[in-house]
Amino acid sequence: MNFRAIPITGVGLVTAAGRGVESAWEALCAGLSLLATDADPELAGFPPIETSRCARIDPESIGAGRRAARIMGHHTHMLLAAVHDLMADAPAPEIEEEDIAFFAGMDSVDPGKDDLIGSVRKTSGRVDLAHFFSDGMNAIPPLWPLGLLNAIGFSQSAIQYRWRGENAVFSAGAGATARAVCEAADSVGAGKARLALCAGVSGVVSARMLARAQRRGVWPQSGGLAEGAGVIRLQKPQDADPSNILGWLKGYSSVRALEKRGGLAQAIRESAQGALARAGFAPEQVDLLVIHAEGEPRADNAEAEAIRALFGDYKPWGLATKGVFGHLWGGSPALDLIMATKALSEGAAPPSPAAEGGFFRDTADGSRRDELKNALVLLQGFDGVCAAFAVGKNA
Amino acid sequence: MAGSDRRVVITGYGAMTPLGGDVASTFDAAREGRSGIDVIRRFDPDRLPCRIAGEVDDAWIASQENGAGRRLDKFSTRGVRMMRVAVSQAARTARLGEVSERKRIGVALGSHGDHPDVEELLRIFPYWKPANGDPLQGGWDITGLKSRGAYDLMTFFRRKSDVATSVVALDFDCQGPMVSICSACAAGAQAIGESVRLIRDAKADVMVAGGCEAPITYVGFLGFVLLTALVERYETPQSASRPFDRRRNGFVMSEGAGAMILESYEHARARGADILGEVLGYGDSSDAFRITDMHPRGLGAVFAMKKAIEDARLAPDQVEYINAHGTSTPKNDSTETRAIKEVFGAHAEKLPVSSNKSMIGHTIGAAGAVEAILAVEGMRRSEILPTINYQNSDPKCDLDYVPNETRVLAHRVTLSNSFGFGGQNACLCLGGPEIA
Repeated sequence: MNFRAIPITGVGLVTAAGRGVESAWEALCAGLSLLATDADPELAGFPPIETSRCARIDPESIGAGRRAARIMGHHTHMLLAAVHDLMADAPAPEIEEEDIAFFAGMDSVDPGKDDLIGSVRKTSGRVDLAHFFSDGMNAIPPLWPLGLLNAIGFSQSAIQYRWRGENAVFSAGAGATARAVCEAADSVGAGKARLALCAGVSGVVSARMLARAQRRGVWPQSGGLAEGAGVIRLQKPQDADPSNILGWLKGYSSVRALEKRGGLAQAIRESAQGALARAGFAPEQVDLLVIHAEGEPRADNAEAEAIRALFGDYKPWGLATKGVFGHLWGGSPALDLIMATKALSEGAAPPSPAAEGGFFRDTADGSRRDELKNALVLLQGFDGVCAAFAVGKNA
Repeated sequence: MAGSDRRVVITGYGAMTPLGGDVASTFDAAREGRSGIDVIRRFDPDRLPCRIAGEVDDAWIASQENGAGRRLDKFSTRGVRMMRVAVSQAARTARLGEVSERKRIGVALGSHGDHPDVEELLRIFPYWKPANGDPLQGGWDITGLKSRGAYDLMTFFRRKSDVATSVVALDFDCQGPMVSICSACAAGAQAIGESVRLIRDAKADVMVAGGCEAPITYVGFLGFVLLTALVERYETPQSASRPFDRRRNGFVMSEGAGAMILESYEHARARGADILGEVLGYGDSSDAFRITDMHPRGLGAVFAMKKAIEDARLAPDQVEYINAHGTSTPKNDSTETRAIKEVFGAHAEKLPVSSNKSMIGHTIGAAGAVEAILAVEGMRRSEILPTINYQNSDPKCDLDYVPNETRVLAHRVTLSNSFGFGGQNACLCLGGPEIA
């Protein structure tokens, strides 16, 4: 099942470390957590929470006009900033607009308190729809409903850069972004697009996001919650300028487990095996393993079980980004894929706080330099979705 | 440019619309030119500039909820409830329960979760504690919220955009790929298109595909009022949705759900499933123009239609009917007409084009699925559903819109268009049972 590798010709990233890949890479290599106890009064009713938030982004700095900015929130800004930086660093080649595909996994967009509290207050604390419609609703920004659509950030990016090819926006969580990466690769691989972008965007930290995470059991069992967005550009090999190639997406696979039936470890293993089979390399050829490691015990145990079954006694270098950044949910597959690509090009395995699992080579006290040729990225989304990406330094 | 050669056929479908609680009753009502639009009953729309919508009869939903999967009820919003009913109808026709390899059955649905409603906001508002004299500064009294049971925490699940996919996968034991799509009015059609891709790529043998939406809530409706996208001038609710008519002035919001069971041709034949139709091709594109407006030349619509026809390996003149997006907004209908003429040239003059939204209204995330289902049902019955309320011709809309009466016409290839807010477009090229 050999699959023709697809060159990665550009990436864009926004995290709590700042804009761009370098700031995130430096944070990762420093091994210092960007998570800090969140002092936002809106979250005061919850147990203390560690978050890593992205600095607010000026819409003008990402080329968004005033009209567009009215329907954009932080969620959209993060995606547009990642896309803006990618396009600035690696301008797009001359390609017909309809040959450019775009897929994204977007986390939920929540109504902000600023959007709704004002309008509800004006109803005097009782359900008075006439009052609400005649008065309260005037406190709602006119384009607020559009701002709530997950697809707005996605559409704004397409508008700004004139991408008119295949597209879809998936939601929510890491599984959605994994789907976006798979679709982009399929689109280029099947020749339906000459260039495809795939992006992942986290939610914005808020009381609603926290409550969702709490209900899902992701938090507080797991580590901190994070904001961020990443975008990856894939291109037809024939079109790619060799000097722009950052790495190669060599294989990908997505498998779903119904967790209650104890299938999570098996699904993780199957997704990894699927990606490796497409890439045409054995587990022992994986130099760097980027694990999902979200901190939730059941998920982490299943991942450890899958890794042991897949790799046996072989120990690759390991990397877990969530110790530094927290969990970006929809943004995490993009972050991990970008960091894996960066590690291959740098020939460096950053230290990983999650290396204590015993299935990595030890990097606990600092980065290790090595000739890294191949990486495998594992991730887990909602509802038992497991995915894996095989990345190579060379074709 | 075509995908793999694996054919994707339709072996079941189900729907809930303002016209009927299933596909047959919806189609029967539509073929008689009946409208499912009326004055809103679910909340008091007094003082709103638009007071009408297409609501699904509660009794149709309740009477078809069969009691299976009760544990999932707490996660099920109105939209998800309709979705589960539509899927159960489709699954029954397709005999989905007989498919033993459940890991080869996936789910792809278009949906956007639920909006918060005013009552919910009012319930939680007392627990917002302003600070520093500024109503927007402060924090939530989460302890108070929880201890007094003021807020049902299941709300967070129900609000998720992927809740329909999750619940349907659990309810119908679909263990294959799961895809949740949020591309506004194109979501239902994109879900079908993505399902086609997954089956062609052999990542699934069977897909449950479709979409649902229940936006007739205060806040959901309000959003579209604020956008001034809804019809505001009408004589009766039933005559308000008038696609391609010169007096059209906005769309009518509706709710509903549509589900298709798609599977590879080989898989369907091997298990002896009845083949109702086929998805011959899928095309998608982005307008990349403005969030709220279509590209004035319908560029994205042109790309999507061309891609779907190309994907089906057909020539434009082999398309015999277009089930239009036809929202009844001034811009959409004239732009869609222009795009059709660009794609089909002289063939457009002979091509019947009609809009189900004239009778059903706009079911947003469900629309692409519901309309594709009605298009296939039309091919099975050799009937083309009309565009009702078409009375005044518009020089910018000069095609054959099948005005006001169902047309008896055997046809085998249909395009179904869906264009979303934000500029995402999807087009399905559908074949009737004779093709399959």
